[in-house]
Amino acid sequence: MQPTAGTPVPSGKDVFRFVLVRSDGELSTAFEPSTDDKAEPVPTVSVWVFGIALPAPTANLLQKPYDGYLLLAVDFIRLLVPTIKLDVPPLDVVQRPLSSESPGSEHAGITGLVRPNDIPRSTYKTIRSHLAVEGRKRYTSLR
Amino acid sequence: MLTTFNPQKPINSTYHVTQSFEGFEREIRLPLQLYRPSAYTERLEQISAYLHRRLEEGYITSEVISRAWKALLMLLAFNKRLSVPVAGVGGDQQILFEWDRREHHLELEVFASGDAQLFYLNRSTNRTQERDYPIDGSAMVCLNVEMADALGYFIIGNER
Repeated sequence: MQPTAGTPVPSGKDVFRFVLVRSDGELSTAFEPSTDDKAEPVPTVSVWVFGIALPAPTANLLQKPYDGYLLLAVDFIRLLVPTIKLDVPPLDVVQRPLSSESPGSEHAGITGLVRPNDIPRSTYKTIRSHLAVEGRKRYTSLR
Repeated sequence: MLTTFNPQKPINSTYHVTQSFEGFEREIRLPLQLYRPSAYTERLEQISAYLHRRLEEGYITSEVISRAWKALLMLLAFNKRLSVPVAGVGGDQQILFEWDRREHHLELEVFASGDAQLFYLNRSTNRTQERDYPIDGSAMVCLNVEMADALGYFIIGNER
């Protein structure tokens, strides 16, 4: 039985992602999947649903020195791949409870960002680059 | 093959990268500053400081810093008019050096595994180029014509 991606985050919502800035203070590699992301049954890139979770308290809970967070509209994420006309499945944003003991809807994941082996890296670098450009428009520092 | 590089070493007119292999050792001299204004050196120092801050925060390892520095210095020596990039770190302990000029974007990405890759993107047309970038062995950089041409978008003084 194939694992399911999860319940879609409703249209109209924003999600935030914690990020590190580059040496010039700008954002760059905000949407690279980590090793942990890739190890999930359905790989996703971790985001949080804005409003259900709030950035500053969430960052404190995670206990990592993030520089800030960026906000992206769920609808933008879903429309990105068709908009830039790449021949890969569109991205989605789904709820990703952190554990069975913490089944809240505050944590989510972007699906479709982990590159299948038969697709060039450049395709997924292009998608991540467009996400980063959009995310820079609504970046908030936590420092 | 062991390659060592000390990114805390003051940036002088020549960078030294030492390689040792089966008891033999050689030093590669990379004459970076011969054609550069002082701002060039300051930007290299900025990204060195940035990477060490990320090291202290636990996002990257000293090993990947060492390899990334060597990769960057090789590229700057390959094209002596190439501007200094900005540095970033990814979620998987990789280091990225990035150049941006208008619609042109170039990345030199050094992964925690030690592999590296060059990637060019034209954000207007979505045209891309990518090439694996060997760090071990020869200090020579071997690029195809298209990637070497893409570097031209990011050289000092070229606003084409």
